[in-house]
Amino acid sequence: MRKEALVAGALALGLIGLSGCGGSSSPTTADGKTAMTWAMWVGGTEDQNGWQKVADEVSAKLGDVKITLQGSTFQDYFTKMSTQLSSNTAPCLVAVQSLRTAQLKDGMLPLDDLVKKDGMDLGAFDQSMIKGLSADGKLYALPYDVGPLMMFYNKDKFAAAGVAEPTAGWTADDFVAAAKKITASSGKPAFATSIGDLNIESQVLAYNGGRVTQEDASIDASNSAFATGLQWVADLIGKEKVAPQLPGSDGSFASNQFLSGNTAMSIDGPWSLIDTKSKAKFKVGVTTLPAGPGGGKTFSAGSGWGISKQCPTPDKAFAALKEMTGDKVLSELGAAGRALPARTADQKVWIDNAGIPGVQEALKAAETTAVPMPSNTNSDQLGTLFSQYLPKALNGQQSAASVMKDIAAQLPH
Amino acid sequence: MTLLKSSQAAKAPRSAAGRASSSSSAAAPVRARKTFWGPAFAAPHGVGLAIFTLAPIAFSLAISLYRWPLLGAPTFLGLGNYQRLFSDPIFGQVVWNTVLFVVLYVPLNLVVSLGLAAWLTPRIKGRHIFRVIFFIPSITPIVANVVVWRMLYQPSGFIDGISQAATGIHAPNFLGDEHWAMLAIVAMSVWQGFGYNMLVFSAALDAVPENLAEAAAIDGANAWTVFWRIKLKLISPSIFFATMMTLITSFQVFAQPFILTKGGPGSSTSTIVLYIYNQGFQFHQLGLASAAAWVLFVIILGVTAVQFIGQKRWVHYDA
Repeated sequence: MRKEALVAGALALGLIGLSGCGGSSSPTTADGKTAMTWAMWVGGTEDQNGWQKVADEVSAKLGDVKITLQGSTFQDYFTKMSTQLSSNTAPCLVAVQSLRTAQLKDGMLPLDDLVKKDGMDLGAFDQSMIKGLSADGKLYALPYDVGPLMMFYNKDKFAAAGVAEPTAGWTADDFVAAAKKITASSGKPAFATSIGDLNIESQVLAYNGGRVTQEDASIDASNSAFATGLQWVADLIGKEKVAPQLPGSDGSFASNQFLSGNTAMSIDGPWSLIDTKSKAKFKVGVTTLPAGPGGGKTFSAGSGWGISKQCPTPDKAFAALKEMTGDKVLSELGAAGRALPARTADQKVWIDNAGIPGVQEALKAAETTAVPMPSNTNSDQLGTLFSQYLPKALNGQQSAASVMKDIAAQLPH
Repeated sequence: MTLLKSSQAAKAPRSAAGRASSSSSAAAPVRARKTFWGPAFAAPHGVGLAIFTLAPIAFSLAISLYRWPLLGAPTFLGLGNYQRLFSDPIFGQVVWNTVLFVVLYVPLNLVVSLGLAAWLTPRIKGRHIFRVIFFIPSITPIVANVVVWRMLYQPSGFIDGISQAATGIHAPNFLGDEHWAMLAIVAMSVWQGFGYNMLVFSAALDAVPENLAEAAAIDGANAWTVFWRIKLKLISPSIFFATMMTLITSFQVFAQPFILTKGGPGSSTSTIVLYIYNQGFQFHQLGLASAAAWVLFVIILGVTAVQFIGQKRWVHYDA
């Protein structure tokens, strides 16, 4: 009986082992190439096809590597990647947003030695992104895009309300005055607030310099200047009546309201500009964020690609990274409007392709006031708490200072 | 047993003449085959159960005793995570929210599903079509349902539009107002979830013998009395089953608040499983998340035990 039970157990284990074989991936393809998976956030079929094109081009260029795209939505990407990095199932090539560098860095390979060995010139990249994709003095990803947060606006709505289009360097008072006129003229709120961490922190930074994510990357959720700035944003809804109440935690509410022509202004990054322009049924303009007393700056962010520590072929992965962030691919991404290239020399193609009058001047003005948003290991937690708690402050159910106190209480001390 | 003994006794003299060895040698392989194939067929399931269910359960209990970050080395805390949970006002709020959801959702679900099952008698024309229609929300992906409900709920959405057209007054900001958000989630959940219980009740009601109702009617019972005093008692095992399953699943509510509100505004719709997800996968505190999961397990176990004890009073199995 004991022997038979052992045989039965072995049989079962064998079955499990066989089924396990089906799930594991070989690092080499049938034609002898090094197989490499590239994890990337994907926003739809068009996006997927765009990134697949990059994967195919780089695979063809390198010859001995086959890159496979592993897509997930941006909202789920960082949860999935953190889990994969911790469970030794992460792919070789990993997309990193500058805000999330610190969160992923423990599972990522520092690139400094590979850059040095290769003799790569990091000076060709926007330096704010080299800083943004570094943590504790080490570089964890090569950037592909960059951008300061800006104000997108509906030119048609401004014209219909008889309001002059905003110019770079406009003030918070100009913004409120324009928003009031457009709201009165169109009968719809002129602006919708976004509760995304990058957007709301940039709006407050431009207004009064208040910030939760400090220059040294620490998080200070009880920062009084930020609470004051947040209260100003809330008053745009409650007092000035130029923005609609937020329907809870819907992260795409502000951009959807703008795209559907309900609101006239929306805060967003250059990475969305060409897509927004192609989808909007109105003329899109872009300018700097409205500056208030003590403010005038904006955050810049961007993304890049790095190598996971689990990658068995880091040299080949770096060769792929070099191609993926090379002039050819970044120019193509810029031309397709997918990204404002992180290589400054390649940005012209994006500007030309945007086809929006004044975009170059607006971008230059925004870049001169932009500071990179540092990353903290708790950035993701802060983002989640923002989407959960900020609607209370913005919809006027609780003061901004009190809501920020609640958020601070939940962050690690 | 007596028969067996006598037949064995009858056979014994013949076996004694030399067949004893051949008889026992024939029976042995049969027994061996039986003892081999039984465990062999059960083994894959047993090993699967051990690897995919029992081991993770034991592992999660162990994790709950550690500070276990997603990336980095764990440190032993003993009952530290449990102490932290019980002293955390947010966890208290989360447990309260979950209980509030259960208290609102379970009775509403049962009343709606039982009411519709009672209405869908064989006399209703097209009852099968109605059954399908009512069951559709249960089988459509919850994400798709949530997108539709978000459009219903949001300011300037469908409900707000009707309210403004009819009364000139704005409807509440259902998902953006902490006083309304939980009710909005309960309403959506009832719509999504009543179909399954309705089918269970409908099948149970169909199985009630018609002659019992006819006999009661002859004795002067009206339709309400027949339903309340006879049918409801006869389908009480089904009601007990539906109540148990609905209670257990509603304590585990996650998708609706996760997609509709992210637990907000504030923590007004944050439930225990959403808290576990956030702590585990957003905030990377797997130890705390596991401890919260064990607290949820104990709560569900306790409520289920009370249900089993209470069933003796109202569930009739001997119909």
